[in-house]
Amino acid sequence: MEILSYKDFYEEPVKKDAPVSEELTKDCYNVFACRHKFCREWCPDYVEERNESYTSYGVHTSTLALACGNASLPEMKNEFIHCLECGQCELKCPNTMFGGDFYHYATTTVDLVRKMRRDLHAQGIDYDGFDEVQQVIDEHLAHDAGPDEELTSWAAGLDLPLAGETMMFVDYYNAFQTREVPIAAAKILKAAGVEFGILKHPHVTTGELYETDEDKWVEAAKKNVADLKAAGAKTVILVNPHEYSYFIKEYPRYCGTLPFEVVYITDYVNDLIKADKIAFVKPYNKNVTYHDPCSLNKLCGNYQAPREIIAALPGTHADVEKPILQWKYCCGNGVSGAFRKALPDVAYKIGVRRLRHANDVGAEVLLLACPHCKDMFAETKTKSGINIEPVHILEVVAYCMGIEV
Amino acid sequence: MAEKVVKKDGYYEVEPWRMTEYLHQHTVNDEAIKKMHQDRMLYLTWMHEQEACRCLPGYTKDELES
Ligand code: SF4
Ligand code: SF4
Repeated sequence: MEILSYKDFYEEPVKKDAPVSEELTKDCYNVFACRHKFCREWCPDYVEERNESYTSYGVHTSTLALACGNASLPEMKNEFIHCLECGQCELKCPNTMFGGDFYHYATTTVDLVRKMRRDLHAQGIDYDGFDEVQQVIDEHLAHDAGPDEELTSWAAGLDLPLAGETMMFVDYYNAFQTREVPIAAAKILKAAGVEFGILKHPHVTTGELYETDEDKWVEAAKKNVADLKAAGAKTVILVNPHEYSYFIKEYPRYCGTLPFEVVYITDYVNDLIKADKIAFVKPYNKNVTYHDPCSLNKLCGNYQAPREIIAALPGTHADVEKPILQWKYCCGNGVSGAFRKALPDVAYKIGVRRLRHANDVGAEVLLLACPHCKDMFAETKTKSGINIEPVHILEVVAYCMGIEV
Repeated sequence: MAEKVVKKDGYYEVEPWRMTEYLHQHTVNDEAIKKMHQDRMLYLTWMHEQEACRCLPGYTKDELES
């Protein structure tokens, strides 16, 4: 599945001393002209900051202000960092939801935000807190330049081949920060009898790089696609929904139709459960609820499999909110971690609001399908003292299968 | 509103030539269109459950005539 909705004219950079292109100006008018504010009310950032400039309406209007000469680029320094890239506004915008299919013209806020961050950076204008984001980028680039063994060290002892028709792509965040997630995924697949491999040297995928140095990110994307193809991949399983969204929404844009099928791990595991390839031997006697990752639910429209997996868990009592009600949630991290790095206090408030909602449904455990959500909620739980445990859904599946992670 | 439209997979679409003067159609593939339909149905169903189903029904014909 490849979801493509993008505008070529976003490629022309906005520069200090050049007029904003006519196409981009009209595009921004298209949003500016609307006063519905559907985008605003469910924007997780707006709910905390109450500043309309940071909504979809706001970022289009700010860009329009540049086009009309009402503002200068340096004044826009901090305008575009208050977005989590969660995608709620662009899918709920009437331009998309009620007219996008009719006109083949939709609102593409996430792309605009990425573009403006990129264009500002290219002009030497960086938002406050960018240094920390640059650090993350440098770390990931260093991993990419580093030895192969480090990138696959999470898989030590798992005896995974480096080629195969089914490949699991493990990004650096999972490989270094939340390795229990790919380990659980690999052990589940092995126990279910799936033969799969991993790349010897996956290349950098982080969103912070994508919105800072597109060329470098695209170069790495092309290498990933070529290496997966060379490894014989027919199916590629992703274990991070951020990367999943890049693979199905961005990679085809730069690399053409991918020579393999891209599947998210929850879909893959759910199919294994349905095919009786996964046997549960232990109950998970907890009251749980589930948090839809923005990148999976809002950006990719993928919400069914985690719900079906939860329903299949033995002994588990689940109260899971509808996917549409979760359009207004984010854990606070954002699809690019730049938001959390630059605005930690706002990120924390967004996380607390989500945890409280989970608490309100009486859950002891908040199940997750994203490593970034897990990290963000773990921090929010510790800081806030809200008594609810964030747990990755794969860890629970492994637990019920009697697998130690 | 366009007096002539194209019907595709049960949904209406504007004739592409109408989008050549002011705004131009951008890359939107079939999966993206399907996602818009899916999102719209989720939203409208939820709106219905939240609001529309609680609206008072209108008068029936008999009530109106009595
Ligand atoms: S993508 Fe999410 S955070 Fe960003 S403006 Fe839209 S709703 Fe707000
Ligand atoms: S982003 Fe969409 S919903 Fe929000 S104000 Fe604009 S056009 Fe309206």
